[in-house]
Amino acid sequence: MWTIQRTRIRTDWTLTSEFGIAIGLATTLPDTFTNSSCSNSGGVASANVAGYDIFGFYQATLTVTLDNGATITFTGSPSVDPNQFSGTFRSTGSCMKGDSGQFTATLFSAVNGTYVGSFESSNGGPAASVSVTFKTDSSFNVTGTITAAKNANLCFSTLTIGTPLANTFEPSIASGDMLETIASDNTGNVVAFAASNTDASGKTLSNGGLFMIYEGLAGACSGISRTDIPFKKVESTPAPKHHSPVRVRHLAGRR
Amino acid sequence: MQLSRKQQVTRTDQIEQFKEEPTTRFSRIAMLAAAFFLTTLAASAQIQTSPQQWTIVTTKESAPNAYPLLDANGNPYPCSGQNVDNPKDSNSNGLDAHE
Repeated sequence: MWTIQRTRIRTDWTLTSEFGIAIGLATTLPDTFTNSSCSNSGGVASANVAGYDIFGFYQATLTVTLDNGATITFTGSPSVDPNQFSGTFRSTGSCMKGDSGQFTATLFSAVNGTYVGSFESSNGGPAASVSVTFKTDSSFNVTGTITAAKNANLCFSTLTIGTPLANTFEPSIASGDMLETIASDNTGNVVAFAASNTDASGKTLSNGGLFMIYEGLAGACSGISRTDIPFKKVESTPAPKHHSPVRVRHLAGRR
Repeated sequence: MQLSRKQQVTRTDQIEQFKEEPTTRFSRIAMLAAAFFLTTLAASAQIQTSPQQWTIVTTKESAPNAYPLLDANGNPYPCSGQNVDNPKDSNSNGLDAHE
């Protein structure tokens, strides 16, 4: 059965509050993307959200204007869940063909930490283990490193995300469930990495797992791409507690 | 001893002043408490910002318009997995599920 790709809008908001009460909500437009074919570039011209409040009862409405002039308005049902709301949407513009229906909006945590996994080759070759460290700041900028395991069959060994060279291609950002990063090394390799915390159905991967894919943009990696199963987050283990040494009870004197 | 008129007035003022002292004292304490409360309130009134990453996914559409997933040859990819994968690989995407 063919898959029907769901329309997605990935976006970042900054909620401003005073005395714990929301007083402003601004959408970060450069971080807002859609996979709708009714967008010329995958970008949007404007995105405005209203009626959202992380505290208590709220009813959010998000209006997105695509870069070809079409609009999609998502109207959430009343919700008390600060991490998710659902509702109905309607659209305008000839390309949208009156598309309407239902949606779910989900809040994703900023990706920070170390992830391990492996990339496989498209011809069935051995998988190559990789360790990735991501750090997302409050402005949704992403930095970090990608390190290949020793003797891994990859075009790179260690890459750094968000270097001046990498930034000449694109900034590395987090948007919704996605990380879109560019990394480089000092040999001239530039590689784009995309990581997602959801599967194609929009389901959130458990334990912060990330689907990852990469594509070489310059250097020896140019034109090479790989993908794989979700990378797993490395949980930091608490330092072991120092117990007092177990004292062996001397029973020798007991009779 | 008979007090002069001036002395009587002064004494009366002192008595009145004495009578008012508890009230004045209370007012001062109240003012200090109010000032303390307002200072504390102002300190906690710092504007806070919360960065949030959202993804909106349609669950039902009357006229789907998202780009379909394609394989390397440009054909529709039949699996709903996030990434096109080699199923014969030792590290294949076993989690992919067909819709």
